[in-house]
Amino acid sequence: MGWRLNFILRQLVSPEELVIPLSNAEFRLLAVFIEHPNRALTREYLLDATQGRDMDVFDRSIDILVSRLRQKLNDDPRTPSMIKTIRGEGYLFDAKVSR
Amino acid sequence: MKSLVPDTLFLRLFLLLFCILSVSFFAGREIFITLGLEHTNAVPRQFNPFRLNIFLIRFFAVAVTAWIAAIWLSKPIKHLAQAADQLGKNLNSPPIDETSGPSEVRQASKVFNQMQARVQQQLEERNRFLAAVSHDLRTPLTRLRLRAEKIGTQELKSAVREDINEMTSIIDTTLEYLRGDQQPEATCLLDIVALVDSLAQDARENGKDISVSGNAHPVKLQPLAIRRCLNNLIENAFRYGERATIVIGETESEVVIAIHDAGPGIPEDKLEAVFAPFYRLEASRSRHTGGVGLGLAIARDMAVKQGGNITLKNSPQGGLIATLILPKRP
Repeated sequence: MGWRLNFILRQLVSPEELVIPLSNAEFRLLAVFIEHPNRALTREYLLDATQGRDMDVFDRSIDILVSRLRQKLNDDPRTPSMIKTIRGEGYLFDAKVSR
Repeated sequence: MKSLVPDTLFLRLFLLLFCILSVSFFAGREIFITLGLEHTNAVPRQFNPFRLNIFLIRFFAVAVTAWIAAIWLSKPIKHLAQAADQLGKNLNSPPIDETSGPSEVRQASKVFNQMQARVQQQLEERNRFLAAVSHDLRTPLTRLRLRAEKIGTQELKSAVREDINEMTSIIDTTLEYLRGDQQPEATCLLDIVALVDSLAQDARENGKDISVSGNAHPVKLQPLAIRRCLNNLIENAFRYGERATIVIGETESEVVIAIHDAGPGIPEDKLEAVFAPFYRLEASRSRHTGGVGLGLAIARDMAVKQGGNITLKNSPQGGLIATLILPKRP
């Protein structure tokens, strides 16, 4: 795959060496995905893990965020290979993660 | 006794080999004789210049052999010591070669490399944590700043504002320090639309009204510099107006990012002057919105460094349009 995530600069580097900055929200979501690869994660869990207090809490916001992240990762939302939708459950991050 | 033992491995080996070789070379026969293992009618030698020459030749042969052998034996350890010294000076020096030298030296090299990796990892983790904390502190600080505006007494309001600014400055400095620790800014291919979008999302998270439209191809430039540039322009838009509208476009040779705000604009005769360092318009002084007048100066510096520029003009609909132009390099 070859995607790299810089935790301090909060940006992705694609396999083609394209630098893709992430917003704070996208970064938090991706960080959670990376901590738990290949596991189905519910929207509630993702919301909880990525939002601080005082944030607008509704399910849909995760969906929007996932769709943004997919776009930046060049992950086709119709046939995603990295962030997969698990019907009735949530999302699954299918990737090999190494430090 | 201690001072008599030579200090380096090389010297120890040399002496050892020299002694061994000397004994076997010069006195071997004598030892055999003494042990009664060889019959000989050996007569005590008399001084003989010819014999002296032979002796000297043999002496130097032994010395040279011992020297070469000692170098060969002590080289791996010497390399290991040099590499360890290098590592002590710079944590990111390349790992020690684990394939050369006797197995004990190889093992020691391996252990050194593992230790280096561990230390690097720990440092990275700590930096990551520090960065996360700094980022996370920003949000509550922003909320505090907004709430502080509602304080009744002017004196208290100013004091609180100053404290918040101080905290913000500490965070910014920390983050800048951590970023500086990364390799010096390299030019790379940057998805500029993703950058603008990320900045907008972050602003929205802080309750700002901002919209982005348009598209452009990725550009080769220094990401952090342009991020800082755009950040300053966007901050200005919010400082002088309530809203920011960003339009991204491109031509064959340039990417154009226009940031519209809903503020009062800038008097025509000051449109260039505002780029001067520490220049602040009268309006901003009274609003105490912080900042020291460097935003535009820095933004332009960053843009010019990429071969681009920033221009300002007043919009016919009111408000200011700050346009960032970046060249497309091959």
